[in-house]
Amino acid sequence: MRSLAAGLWLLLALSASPQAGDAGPTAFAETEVKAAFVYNFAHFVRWPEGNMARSGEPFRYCIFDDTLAALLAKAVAGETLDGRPLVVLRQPELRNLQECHLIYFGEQSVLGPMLQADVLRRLASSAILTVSDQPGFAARGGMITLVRKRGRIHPVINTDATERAELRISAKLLNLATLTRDGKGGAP
Amino acid sequence: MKFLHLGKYPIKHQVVLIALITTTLGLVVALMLLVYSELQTAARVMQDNANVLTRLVGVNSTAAVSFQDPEAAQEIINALGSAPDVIAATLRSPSGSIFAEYHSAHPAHAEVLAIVEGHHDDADHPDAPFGSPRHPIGLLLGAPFLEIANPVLVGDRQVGTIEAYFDLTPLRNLVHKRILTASAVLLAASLLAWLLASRLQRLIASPIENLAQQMQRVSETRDYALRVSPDSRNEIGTLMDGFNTMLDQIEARDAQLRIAKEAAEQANQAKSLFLATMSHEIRTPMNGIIGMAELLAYTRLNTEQSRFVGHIRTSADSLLRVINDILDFSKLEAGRMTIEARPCDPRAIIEDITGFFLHQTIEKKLNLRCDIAPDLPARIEADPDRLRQILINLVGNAIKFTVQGEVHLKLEHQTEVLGERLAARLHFSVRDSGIGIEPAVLPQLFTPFTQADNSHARRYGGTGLGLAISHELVQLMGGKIGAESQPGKGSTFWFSVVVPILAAESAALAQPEPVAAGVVPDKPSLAGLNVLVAEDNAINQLLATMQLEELQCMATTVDNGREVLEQLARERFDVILMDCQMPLMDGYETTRRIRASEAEGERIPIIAVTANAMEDEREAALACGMDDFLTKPYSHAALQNALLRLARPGALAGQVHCD
Repeated sequence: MRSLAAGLWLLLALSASPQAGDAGPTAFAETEVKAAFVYNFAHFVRWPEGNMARSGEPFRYCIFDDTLAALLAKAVAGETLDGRPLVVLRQPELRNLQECHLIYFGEQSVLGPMLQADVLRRLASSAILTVSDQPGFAARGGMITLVRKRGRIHPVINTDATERAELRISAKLLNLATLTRDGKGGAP
Repeated sequence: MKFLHLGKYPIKHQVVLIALITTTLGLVVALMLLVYSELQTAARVMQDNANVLTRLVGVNSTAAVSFQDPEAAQEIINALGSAPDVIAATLRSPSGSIFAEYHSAHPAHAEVLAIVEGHHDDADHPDAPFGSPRHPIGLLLGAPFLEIANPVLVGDRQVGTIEAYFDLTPLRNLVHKRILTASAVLLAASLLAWLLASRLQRLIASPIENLAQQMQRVSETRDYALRVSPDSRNEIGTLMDGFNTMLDQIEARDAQLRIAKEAAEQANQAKSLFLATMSHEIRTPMNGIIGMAELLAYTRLNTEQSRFVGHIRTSADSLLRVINDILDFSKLEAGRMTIEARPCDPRAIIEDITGFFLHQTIEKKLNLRCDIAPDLPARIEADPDRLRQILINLVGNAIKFTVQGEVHLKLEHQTEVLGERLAARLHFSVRDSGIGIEPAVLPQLFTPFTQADNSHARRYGGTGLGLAISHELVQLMGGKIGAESQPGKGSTFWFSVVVPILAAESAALAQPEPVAAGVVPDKPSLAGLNVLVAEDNAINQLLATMQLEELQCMATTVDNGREVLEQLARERFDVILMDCQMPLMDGYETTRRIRASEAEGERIPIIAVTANAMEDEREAALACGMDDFLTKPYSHAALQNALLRLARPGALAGQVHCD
């Protein structure tokens, strides 16, 4: 219950809508928490300069999860990140994935495991933060995995993968998260 | 510095006080500024530190709040425990619910912690504004704790609030400590200033004290030769130099004044000597004139010759009066006039005056009226000669300035008590029907050498000294003198003196001196008296010889003192008429020698004769052994009386008049 309350609180904080105590189904609540996590990662990760060169270009969340995409879209409405508008792309075209800053692979991702692995492989050296709640995501080259730990959503970060992509994770986030390595080396 | 009323303290106290006040005031201001600015800085640093700490915790907890990790948040917030003055801290969600909180476990914080918790029961969260403005130290000292609140921001989105509560006790302790230190410094510095000033005040105060002492010594001892030795080159040295210069000037002026005084005294002595000499030189021939005229009057003369002799007498008398006036005046001026006090009869004085002026009034065909109060005391204590002199002046004037009518002499009296004795206020007044005096001139009448009109002096003669002398004499007697007059209607001159009344029984002893009037025929005979006349002036020798022959005495004349001694060795004399001023040996020396050579019980009567009318002349004569004193020119009667007193004492005793 505690995780539910916390997740609700976070969501409420994000949407600034005071509807505390309006309990929904557990899965939905968890998705909401995950949406909040995804939203917040943008604030605790620094992308390399080249990737963010053009000012005014929107920050793109590419989400392969319909529920989460809807929740996130609601959360980012009107928000900015360092002066950039925040955009949520739901189930984007694969050829457009290079333009994303953050890709989320949900459990209900339309991509099959094979395609997803292929995408990950192709984007391995791109400065794109990859997030998923699928178990073993890190081992497949994913960067942040959202796991359930003691009843709460907890981030696990594959530092080898982030280093390869030249993404710098905030120490504050690293302090909270569980760190792991995929054994494929840090340097690109 | 008036408000301090420092003027009444000695300079050394003033110096110390001024140093102390100045030092203390300066120190108080400096210390207050110093302490205030230090405390202000301390408060600012404390607040800045608190602010930084709070902000740091806020920044560090962004991830914990964002990723809903209360454990991580608790860990971060617990780190505040390492800061000793943090009492409590709370991390809150924007809705106000507590995400993580820290409470100090320090026992010293327990009390304030309770206040902080109580404070949150009835206050919004947070109640301190974000951005934490700095509070002035005064506000901090009054507050129980310092609350700082900061938003927890992710990007520009607020994800929570951090509030921290800080203990203000260290700041308060610092304030107390600083104030205590400052007070101690102030006390120590004031003490030091006082000690220093007490020692250094001597620099200023001791030269001034020294100067004051020297000045006092100079004014006490009147020794203007004393000098102050200046020991400093500042204003006090200048002051001492100035004082010395003043002393120099006083000394110099003293010397000048002494010289001037000596010169004045010498001049005055010369004047007195001149007056005495002149008096002597004039009186000697006057003696001849008056005596000869007197003798001439006894010879057989026709009417015309008698009148001429009378004129000579009158003129000589006038001249003598003038000389006497001048002498009296110079005596009064020198303060050497003395007023005697001896028994006398006031009525007799008035009668003398009327007798004296009888001839003149008859000649001028004036009526001289005389009023004496019937109950007038018969015997008073006064100086009859001086009273007579004043009255002669006043009556003489009245007769002189009255052409026709009368002169009215009046004596009234009033009994008074003078101490324990009964006294009478005698009021003499002389009223005439003469020309009168202008009112403008009246006030100047009694000043010397003033007459009512200069033309009067020419018409009526006189020295103008009479009234001035009268005025001085009355003042010496302690009386009053005055005049009232209307031009053309006559004048009244008056004077009044207070004199003691004596018992009437002893009035018999009063001896009114006879006014010069001819020889009293029924006096005892002096026939056969052998008289030695020592006189250097030939005319006066002749006069004395003829006067003595008139009295049927035998006279032998000698020219000086030596001849006196020689003559005495050859012959025995009954009496000597001794002129005081003689060549070779003067009368004083001669008398001393005679007295020295005389045997026990033997004493030849010696009468001093001198033209010096001065009082001290008489004293000198009596002091060297002479028995009586005649002033030239002397009248026939005066000589007769003197001879009777000395050579025929027994004969005279039975002949005393009782008035």
